[in-house]
Amino acid sequence: MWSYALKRLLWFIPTLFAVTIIGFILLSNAPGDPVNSLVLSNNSGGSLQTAKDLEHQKIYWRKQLGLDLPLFYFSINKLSEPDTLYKIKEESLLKQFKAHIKLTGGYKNYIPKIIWYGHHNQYHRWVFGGTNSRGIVRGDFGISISKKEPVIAILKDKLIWSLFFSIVSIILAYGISIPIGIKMAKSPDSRFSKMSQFFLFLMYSMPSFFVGVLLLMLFANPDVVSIFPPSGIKPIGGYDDDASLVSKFIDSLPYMVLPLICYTYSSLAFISRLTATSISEQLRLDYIKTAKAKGLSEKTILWKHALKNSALPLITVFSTVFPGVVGGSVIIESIFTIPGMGLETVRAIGSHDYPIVIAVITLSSALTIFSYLMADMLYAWVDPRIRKT
Amino acid sequence: MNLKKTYTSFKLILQKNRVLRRCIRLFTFITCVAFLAPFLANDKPLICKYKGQLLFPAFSYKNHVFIDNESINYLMGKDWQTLKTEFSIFPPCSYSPNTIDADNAPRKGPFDNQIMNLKNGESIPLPIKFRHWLGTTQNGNDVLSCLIHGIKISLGVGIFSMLIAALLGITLGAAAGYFQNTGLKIGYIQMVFLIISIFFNYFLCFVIRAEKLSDGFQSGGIWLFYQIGFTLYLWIQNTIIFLWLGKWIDEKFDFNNRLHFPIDTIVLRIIEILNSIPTLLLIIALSAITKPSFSLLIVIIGFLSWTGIARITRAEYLKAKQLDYVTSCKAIGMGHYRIIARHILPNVLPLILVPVVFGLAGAVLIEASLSFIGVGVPLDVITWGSLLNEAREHFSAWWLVLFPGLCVFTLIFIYNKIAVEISKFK
Amino acid sequence: MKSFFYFLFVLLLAITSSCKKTQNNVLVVHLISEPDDMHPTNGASAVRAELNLYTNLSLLRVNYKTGELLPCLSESLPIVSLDGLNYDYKLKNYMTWDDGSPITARDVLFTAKASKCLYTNNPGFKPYWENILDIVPDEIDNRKFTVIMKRPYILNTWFWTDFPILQETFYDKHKILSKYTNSQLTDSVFLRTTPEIKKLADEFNSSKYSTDPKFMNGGGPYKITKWDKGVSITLEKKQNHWSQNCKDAWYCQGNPDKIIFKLNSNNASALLELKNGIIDVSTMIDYASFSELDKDENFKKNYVLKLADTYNYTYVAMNMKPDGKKHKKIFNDPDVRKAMAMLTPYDQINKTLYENHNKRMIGPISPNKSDFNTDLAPVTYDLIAAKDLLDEAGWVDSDNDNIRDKMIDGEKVKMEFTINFIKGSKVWEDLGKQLAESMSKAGIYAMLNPLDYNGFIGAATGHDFDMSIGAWQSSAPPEDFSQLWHSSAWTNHGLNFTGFGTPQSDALIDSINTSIDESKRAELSKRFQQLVYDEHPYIFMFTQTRRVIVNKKWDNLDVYTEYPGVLLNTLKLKD
Repeated sequence: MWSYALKRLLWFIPTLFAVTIIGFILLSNAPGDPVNSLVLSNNSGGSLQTAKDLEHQKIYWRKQLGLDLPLFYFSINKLSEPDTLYKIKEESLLKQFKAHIKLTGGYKNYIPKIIWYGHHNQYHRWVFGGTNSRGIVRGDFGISISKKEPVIAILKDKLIWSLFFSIVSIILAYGISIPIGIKMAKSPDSRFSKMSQFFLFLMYSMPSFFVGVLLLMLFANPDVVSIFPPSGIKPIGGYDDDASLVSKFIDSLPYMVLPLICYTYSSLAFISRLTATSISEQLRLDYIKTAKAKGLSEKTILWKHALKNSALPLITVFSTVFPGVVGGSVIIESIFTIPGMGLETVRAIGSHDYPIVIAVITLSSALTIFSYLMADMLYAWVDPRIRKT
Repeated sequence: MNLKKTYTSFKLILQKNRVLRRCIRLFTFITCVAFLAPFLANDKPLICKYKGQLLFPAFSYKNHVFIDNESINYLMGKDWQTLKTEFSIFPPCSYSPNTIDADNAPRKGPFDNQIMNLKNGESIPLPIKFRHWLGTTQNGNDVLSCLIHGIKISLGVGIFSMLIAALLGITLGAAAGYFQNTGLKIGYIQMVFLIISIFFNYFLCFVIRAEKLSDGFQSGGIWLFYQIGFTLYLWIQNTIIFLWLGKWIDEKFDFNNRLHFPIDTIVLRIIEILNSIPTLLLIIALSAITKPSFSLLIVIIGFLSWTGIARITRAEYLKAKQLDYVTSCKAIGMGHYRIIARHILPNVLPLILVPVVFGLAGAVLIEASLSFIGVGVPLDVITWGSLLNEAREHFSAWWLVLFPGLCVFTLIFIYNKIAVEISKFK
Repeated sequence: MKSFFYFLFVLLLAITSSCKKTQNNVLVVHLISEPDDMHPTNGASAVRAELNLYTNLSLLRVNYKTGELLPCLSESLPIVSLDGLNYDYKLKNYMTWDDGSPITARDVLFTAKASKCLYTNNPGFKPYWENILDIVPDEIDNRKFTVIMKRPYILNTWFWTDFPILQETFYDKHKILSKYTNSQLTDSVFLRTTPEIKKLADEFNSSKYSTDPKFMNGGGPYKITKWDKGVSITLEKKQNHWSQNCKDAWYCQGNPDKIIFKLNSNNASALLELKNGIIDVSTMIDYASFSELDKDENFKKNYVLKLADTYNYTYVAMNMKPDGKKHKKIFNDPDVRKAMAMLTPYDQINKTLYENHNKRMIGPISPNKSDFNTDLAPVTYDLIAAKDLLDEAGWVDSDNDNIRDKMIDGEKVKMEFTINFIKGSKVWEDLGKQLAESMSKAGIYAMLNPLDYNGFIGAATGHDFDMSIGAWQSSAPPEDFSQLWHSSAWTNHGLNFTGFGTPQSDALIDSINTSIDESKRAELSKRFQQLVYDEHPYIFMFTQTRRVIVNKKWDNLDVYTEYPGVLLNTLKLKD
């Protein structure tokens, strides 16, 4: 078991590495100079003195963010370009310089050159740490451009909410759809199973933003029915300082109902159908007949024996449901103004705060990879045959 | 002919399944509406007679005509409705999606009082043929017209992105499933050349052509497709040249076919990596970085959603490899590519179609979600999602929630239903 | 069946706890966007400025009732020397910081130095100090000091209104900055030799002062006690604030015990929250929702709805000095610019986007200001006259493709251009669409080009645009036209986007900026407005109207033109 776990774990390292590369490519290709946004002010008015001050600030921030380093361990350049081209940061200047090279370079423009920079580069700094950075391996995602705060400090609280919602909604989805699935498997031709199958399929095709807006319009609107609060996740003014976890939960309960419906409904069809098919397959097998002959009640057979043996496909579904929930949070959180990662992503994109966007992507990818790992482990635990192959 | 075989098998499926038939019919109807959109919802009349002259504005590419020294502008939007024509036949919905009807703005509902201000300052109830049946938006755009013209985008984004995804997914999945890790053999020098070609191609495609590529991303449209396609073409062509050179040298030194190329592992790794990144988030990030355009959206969705297709293709090819007809094909010395493309593919195509059609639904959902949060889609085109986005700010405009939402729902439902029904024929 | 009952139970629970009322004397205010940071001087967001009103004090303030200067920390308005360069201030003697220590001239000096030091990261404040030569404390009285200016300027006193005074012993415990002179702090060579300043500045810039309520300190009657990121900001009234004992300081007295700023960026759910009675005060809900609520009799039983003027205005800037290559020479002709102004469907935009609540803007200054030139008539929408103007200017559709063109420098130029605006705002998107549609009727093809904030400002200050939609926030102090209209602000890539400015207009701006005499300044200002009006560098659109909604349980409501429109600390709970 442990050797299998270790093997799987090792396999995930290159995946994580690839995810960080993708994240970094996105980050370094983001338009605009982040330093510009950091020092930008509305009052600079066009006076020369201010422009000089700004330049000072820019150099400071560039150093702080490690932007004065080369991008990667190596770079592939034109032969005509100097090795230290990365030091030019002003976009217009770089453009001019490149145009100049293009004109004067001649044949050298078409010959590649590989430059080795060593580990003093932005990627290394970003992943493993360096000057003014501890690296994402130690949980440092850099500084948010718009808030000038460490990204991880901003995302910490938001991550908790997003995780809370995704985990609770997955538990809810399993909790609701497994009984439905079992009932459907028990009597596949009954009215209940046909109706529920139809309605669950309808729900499956409903876009979550449509359902979210409809729910808000219907259940948080004083003109129709106002049962649930329309936005947020906590009572006004936050929790009391000495509130226990349970009382916090109860305080937040009304705020959670609508978002949870939104998170959960679409995966119901999927899971319940899968439960139904895999259990009905199990029911055809011999051991169930033996169990029946032994005189076990139908309930025990269904819930204990059949369900346990059909757990495998259900676990696989977990690893397909989870990424969907994480991605879906963008929409649902922005509808219900839940202060989670999704809403933060939308805000960050609006203010072009790329470090946050990339951190969200990297974090949620890591989470997804972790969930795959969990699923694999569970899989191996349930079915010992897998460990051996 | 194998294509014929596939076609007849589809026909058989269709004949057997009533639900699928209905879904396909509905889908065809929607497609027709999309194609006929300019004649179903247009602010120009189909036919009209003005000062004795017969005009066909909706069909015309003209910019303006002179009638009795009066210039009739073909771009003048709502003015056609107030033009005193002798007779005119308007399309069923007499507004283009971009027509601004300021008299019925902001946000008039289907049952609200809709009015029309005449040029002499008088205001009359809106004539029934000009009515906004599904209400208007903030700017006074007709919702029905936006919905009709929005079909085109929802369908187009789905179909084109899935074309890319299917091409990628089937090719990679088939290669992985058919060859696995041991089927493809290359020589030492060839391997070295392959690695060199990666660096060389990177230089060629992303350093020398960097400006043109970024230009393509900035301008969007066909130009983007061309740039990406050309880059891919360059890459593949150079790789083939390098491989061929390597093979030639290998043969000289008799190094040929010494190494196994682990294509299966590579494809599976890529699938795992792509699957672990939340697609919607990645698309949001990507489209925030580049200038939003639908062609970019198509490319991004296409390049990110082929994994499901590849996985099923791989599984089917693995199965098919064991079957008798493939072994006999191999026995008579048929080429690999012939077996992959001409013999196995037609047999597994219906099954591969299932993830493709599910992917269509997914693409529609992604496009609508992005327009809903207003990220990554161009602003000047009104889509179903962007109508809903407007409603998000004003819940009192229920018609902006209900109708676009139902449209998205219907299209996704049809796709899902088709996919489910096809998957029943295993 | 059992599960159904569980569900009912949960529902019941939900209903009961959502009905939980908030405590008394707690004011809940709608906030549309969170401040990026709450650093007293380094931040840039407008929300921060609003919160600073309650948590910090400045030397002088705007008198909201009259729009004039009001001494706040200072005992009275400063005594100005004859040449208009020396300003003598004296601080009130009864004011204290939270720890009981008095507010003295040292704190003012520290504030000045902390903002002026090259290492501190407050680009928004640095320009203010350009005109300050030095601040000299009085040797005997530690509450007296003199501010010495470089040149006479209309805003020499007004700039203090933006400036929160910082407590020296809180930020600089070892009094490091006081060892150095102003000129040393702006000398980058000298600064390199003094690591202790660098260390202090790094600490001063650090995020604890901008995010952690424990490190937020100010002289105001309220204190930020909780900042729940993305949810709310809570301000609590200080228990023993000095202002409780002086009746005349209404502007820094706190009535509500707690002010909670509740963040909700979504307009529709904010509307629902208002209807549910969750929010007490909102000034940020959009025009359409305001009208909807205004028609709702049920809602009006509990809430007061008021419209208030602001000094802010929306404009469409045109590039008067295009380079001719990337941007065609379309708008360098004043007649064309005038035609553009005539093609703007003002009434339609006002109706569809602003519910007819907005007033027309005519020149570069809000009609709500006293020096507004009333002789100027607003440009009105006139399609035919605009077409004629374009025809006269040589822009005709010669090739019958429905787009006007003209030969410029031997090249046929089509009347095609892009309209820049900041993306994310639905109103500006709709405004752009209406502009483009209206222009297409006159044979002009305009494309919409949404940009993010930095891209927009970059394009505008880099003169890399054709037309851009924007808005300026303005406030009660006399208008300094040099930022937006002086030609140096164009050459230095400042906020003069359009390229407006002649030697004559520059001279006029300079003389406005130095004329301390109010009536003379008003007269010059009117002349300048006429100049801008004739040139049409902007399409002046509308002054914005603030939509104030306040729960009727709060009394003593006054609505002001100056931002933020409602002074929350003056609201009183009805018994």
